[in-house]
Amino acid sequence: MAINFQPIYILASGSERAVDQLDAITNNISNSNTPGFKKILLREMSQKIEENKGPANDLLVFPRFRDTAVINSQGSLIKTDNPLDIAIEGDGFFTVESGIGRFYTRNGHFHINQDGFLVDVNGAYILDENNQRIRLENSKFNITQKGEIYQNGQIIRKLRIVNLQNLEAVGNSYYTGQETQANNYSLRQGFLENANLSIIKEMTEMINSHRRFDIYMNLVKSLDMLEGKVNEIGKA
Amino acid sequence: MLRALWTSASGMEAQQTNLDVISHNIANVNTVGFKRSRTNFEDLIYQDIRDPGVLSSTQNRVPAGIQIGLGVKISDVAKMFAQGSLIQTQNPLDVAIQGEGFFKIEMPDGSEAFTRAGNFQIDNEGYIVNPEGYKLSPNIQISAPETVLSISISPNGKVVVVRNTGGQQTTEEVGSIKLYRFINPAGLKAIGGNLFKYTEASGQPIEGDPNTDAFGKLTQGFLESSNVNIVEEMVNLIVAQRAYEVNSKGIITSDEMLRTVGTLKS
Repeated sequence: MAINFQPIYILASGSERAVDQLDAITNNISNSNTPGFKKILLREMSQKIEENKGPANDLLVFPRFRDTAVINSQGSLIKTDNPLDIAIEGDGFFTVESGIGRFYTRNGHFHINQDGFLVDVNGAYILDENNQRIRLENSKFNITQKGEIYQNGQIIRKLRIVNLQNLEAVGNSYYTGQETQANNYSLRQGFLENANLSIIKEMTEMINSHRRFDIYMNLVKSLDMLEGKVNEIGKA
Repeated sequence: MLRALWTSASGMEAQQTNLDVISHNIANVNTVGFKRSRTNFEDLIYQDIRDPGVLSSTQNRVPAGIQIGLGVKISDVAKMFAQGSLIQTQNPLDVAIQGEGFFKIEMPDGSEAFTRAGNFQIDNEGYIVNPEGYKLSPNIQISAPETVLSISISPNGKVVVVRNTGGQQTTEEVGSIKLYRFINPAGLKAIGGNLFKYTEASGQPIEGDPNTDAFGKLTQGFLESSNVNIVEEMVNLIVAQRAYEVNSKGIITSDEMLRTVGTLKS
């Protein structure tokens, strides 16, 4: 009997993965216009259940999560003509200091707050290479490709740009991870980096997750009907 | 129920607001001194999911953090204070600001408002007023309007009238226009009628004379047109509409999957 019931659980577990896949895809799609957003890829793996003895152990493997990797590839740049919009081309993240700690972001949509500090949309301070907040005299400034801020013809600060390993998304365009040196970057003032996802690929994956879900569910139905027929054997 | 339903809904909602902002920009393409807005997005929080089956396993393949995002939100609708192009009008009381700065307007309730729209007029008492009839601040009064031959406004804000009194031409300086700027103009609050109010985010207004320091210079006989780029707005409109559409597909897919679940048990 077990050999008949197990596949239903495997199929149910596969359906759950299909739903999770859809969750991840819709999150990517809904962020298709979010500056600095990095696509999240849900990866799966198959796993044997130790408790299954004998040949069933080799036959039955369950689909499981492996991880959700943040795909850190370059997004396209959009021109905004706003001097406070800064896009990173190449490696690296801006460092920001919010009330609850330090985060990293590729969303270079900045503001100047009432005290003259450079902040992001959530009011978190942008840090310079000495981990200091950046205060500007007025909203007229230039940023070089390497992140030096010029005001009135003088370098006043240099933005802190670091690379990250083991990226993890936090939300609000923030990421965390382990800092490493970033060398290969150039900044573009008056631009924002668009999300790095391809809407065609996301739609294809959406169809994929939908159909695999349907297939699993149909198979569950068929197995159920099979059991139903087995139950009828021997009845009048 | 499926997370994807709400995730897609958040996407549709955000694009809807984006569409509202874009159409507001397009509607104001010919509004004097209008500054366009831009919607900015941020991803929502992420839900950490642990698959219990994997954790309890004796195999050493423990997964890294599994994170499912919950959609998108509007982070801000930022006003772009880039200079609009100047249109010649020949009207002596049309004044455009070339560079940073705002005119100050005295509201009927006594409060202050700021504007980039320099299409001024003279009211029945000779005061320089905006099209709604609110006085320019500091007040400038031009007395005995019947004797006025011409009004000239210099780039640094001096208002001079030339009069013909009894066959003799005299010039008289009646006042000067001041400009005001803000450390963070994006923090200004639009109250309609081309007017802005300062907030805690924008900081207090800084007064100054036109054509000095960081203040722009005044140009008489010109108006500043809106800084809306219609081609750019149309492209944004297309992007917003298609993004809305694709998000709606996420809802349709979730719905169909739920229906499949519903018909699982016959």
